[in-house]
Amino acid sequence: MNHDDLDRLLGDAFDARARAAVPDSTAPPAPRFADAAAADAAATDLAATVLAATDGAAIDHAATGHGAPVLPATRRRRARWVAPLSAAAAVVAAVGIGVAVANSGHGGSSGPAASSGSTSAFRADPGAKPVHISTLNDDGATYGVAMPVVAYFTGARVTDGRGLQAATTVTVNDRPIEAAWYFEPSSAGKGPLEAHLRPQNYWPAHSAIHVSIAARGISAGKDLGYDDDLSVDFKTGAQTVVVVDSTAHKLYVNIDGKNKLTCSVALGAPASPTRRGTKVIMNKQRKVQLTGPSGTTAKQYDEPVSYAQRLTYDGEYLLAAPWDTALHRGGKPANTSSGSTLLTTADAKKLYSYTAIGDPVKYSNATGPAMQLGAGFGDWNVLWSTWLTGGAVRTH
Amino acid sequence: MAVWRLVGVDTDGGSAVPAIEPVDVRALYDSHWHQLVRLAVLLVDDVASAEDVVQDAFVALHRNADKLRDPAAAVGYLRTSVMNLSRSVLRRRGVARKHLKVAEPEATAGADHDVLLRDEHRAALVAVRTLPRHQREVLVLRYWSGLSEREIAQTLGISTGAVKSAASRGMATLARVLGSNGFGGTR
Repeated sequence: MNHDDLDRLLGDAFDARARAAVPDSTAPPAPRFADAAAADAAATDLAATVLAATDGAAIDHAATGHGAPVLPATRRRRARWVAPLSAAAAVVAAVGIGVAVANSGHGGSSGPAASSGSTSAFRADPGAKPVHISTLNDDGATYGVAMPVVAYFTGARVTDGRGLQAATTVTVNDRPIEAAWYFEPSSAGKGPLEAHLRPQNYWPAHSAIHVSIAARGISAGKDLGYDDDLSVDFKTGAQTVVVVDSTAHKLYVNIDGKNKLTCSVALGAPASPTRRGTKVIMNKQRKVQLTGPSGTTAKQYDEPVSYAQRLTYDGEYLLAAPWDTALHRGGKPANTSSGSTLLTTADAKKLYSYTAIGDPVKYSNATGPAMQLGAGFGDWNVLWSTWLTGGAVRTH
Repeated sequence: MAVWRLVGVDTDGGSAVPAIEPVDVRALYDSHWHQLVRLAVLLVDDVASAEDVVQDAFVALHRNADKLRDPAAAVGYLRTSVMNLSRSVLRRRGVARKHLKVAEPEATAGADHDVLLRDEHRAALVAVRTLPRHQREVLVLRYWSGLSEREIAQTLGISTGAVKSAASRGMATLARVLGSNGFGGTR
C-alpha cells in the first residue's frame, strides 16, 4: 500500500467513524457552561435593579430584562463578561436614561426608557433647514431577525441624534421594546450619514415589528429640523442563523433552534480572506453577473452566478460555485475565493430556500479582518454599550 | 482586499471602527460541538465519554473567555482541552481496568458504530487503536482535523520534530499492518 493510498484510507476511515458516531442530525445538548452563566446573570440583574431603585429612577425593567427575549444565552454571556468598569458604566447609563425620562414629564413609569422619551426638548427652531428621512425597509416585508431598520437622510448632515431617538417608538407584537439608533457615514452612499435602528439582541422571531418615527418638527441639530413623520411595519420570520466554521469548512443553518443544513464550503484565499464577525444577508439574487476579483492582477472574471446572497457592500457573497470541483467531489475544500463563501450548486440552492434578507451569518473564526459596521449590515459586531453612544452623533 | 464585486456598485466603505465583542462561547458551541465530539470519539472511542470531554472543554473555555479575544485562538484552546481531557479519560480507564479487572470497555466500544463501516475502514481503525497514544493523537489531528505539523505541535505542546517522528512511525506501522491483510490496493 503506498503512502497516498494510506493517507486517503486513514482520512476516510476517521471520517466514516466520526460521522457514524456523531451524525450531523445529532442536536448538541444544552451546554453545561450555561448553568454557571445563568447564576451570574441573575446576580448582575439584581445588582442593576437595586442600583436603579436606590437612585430613585423608575426604569421599566422590562425594557432591559425582557424586551428582546430572543437569545437568552447572549444576554447571560454579556452579563457575565462585561468588565467591571464597563458594567458599572452601563448601569449608570441605564439609570441616566431613566432620569431623563422622569425629568421630561413622562414619569418614566411605563414603556421602554430609551424609545418613548418626550420630544419636547428637541423641537426644531422655526426656520430650521429641513432634513428628510427615508428608510430602506419595506412596509409589509418579512425579514430575518438581524435586519436593522436603516434610515437615510437628505437635505443636510444630521449633527445631533437625540431628537430622532426621542421621536422613535418601537413595538414588537404591540409591546414596547428598547431600540436605539446608531449613526455612521452612509455606506449606501445616500447622504453623508445613515442611521441603523436595532434592539440589543436580534428581533424576536415570528413577530410583528412597528417602528414609529414622529420626527416632523424635531431637531436634527442646530438649525436643522426633520420634515417628515414615518412608520415602518415589518414582520420577522423564523430565527434562522447561519454559522460558517472556517476551520472545518462547514456551514450550518439553524432554524428556530433546529439544525436544518450542514454542508461544506470554501472561503476566501489567503490573499483575500473572508471577514470575521457577524454579517447579515443584504440581498438575494437567483442569478447575478459578477465581475472579479478586484484589486489584483489575477485573472478577471465576468460570470453569471446562481443563488447569490450578498453579505457586504464590496461583494462577499454566499453563492453556488459550480467551478469548484473539489467542493463538488466532496473532497477537502480549498480556500480559493475572493472573499465569498462558495457552496455546491445543490447546497447553495437549499440555503437560498431557507434564508431571508436580514438573516445573520456568523463567521466566528474566519481568518480575514474584523467585519466593520459599514462594510455591510455589520451592526451586530458593535457592543450594545457602544451602540447606545450613537456613533457619529450622540443619541442619548 | 480582493472580493467579488457587483458591477457598478459603489464601494465607499464606512469609517466607523466598532469594538469586537469577546469570544462568543455559545456560538462556538453551536458551530463546533459536532466537530469536537467527533475528535474526542476518535481518541476515546465511545460517544458518551466524548460528549463529556467536550462539555468539560467548553466549561473551561467559558471560564477563561474574557482572556481570549480571538475566536481562532479559542478553537485552538478547545482542541487542546479535548486532547488533554481525552487523555485523562483513557488514563482513568486504564486505572479502573488494572484494579477492577472488568471487561475492557474500549475493546468493544465503537463496535456498534464500526459495523456500519466498510471493511477497509474498520481494519484501519482497529490498527490505529493499537498505536501508542501520542502516535494516534498525531494521526487523528493530521488526517482527520487536517492540521499542519506546526498546528499539531502547538495543540499537543510538543516540537514539530516530535510530530514528524510520531506521524512517520505511526504510518509505518499502519502500512505494515494494513499492507499485509489484503486491503492494500483496494482503492
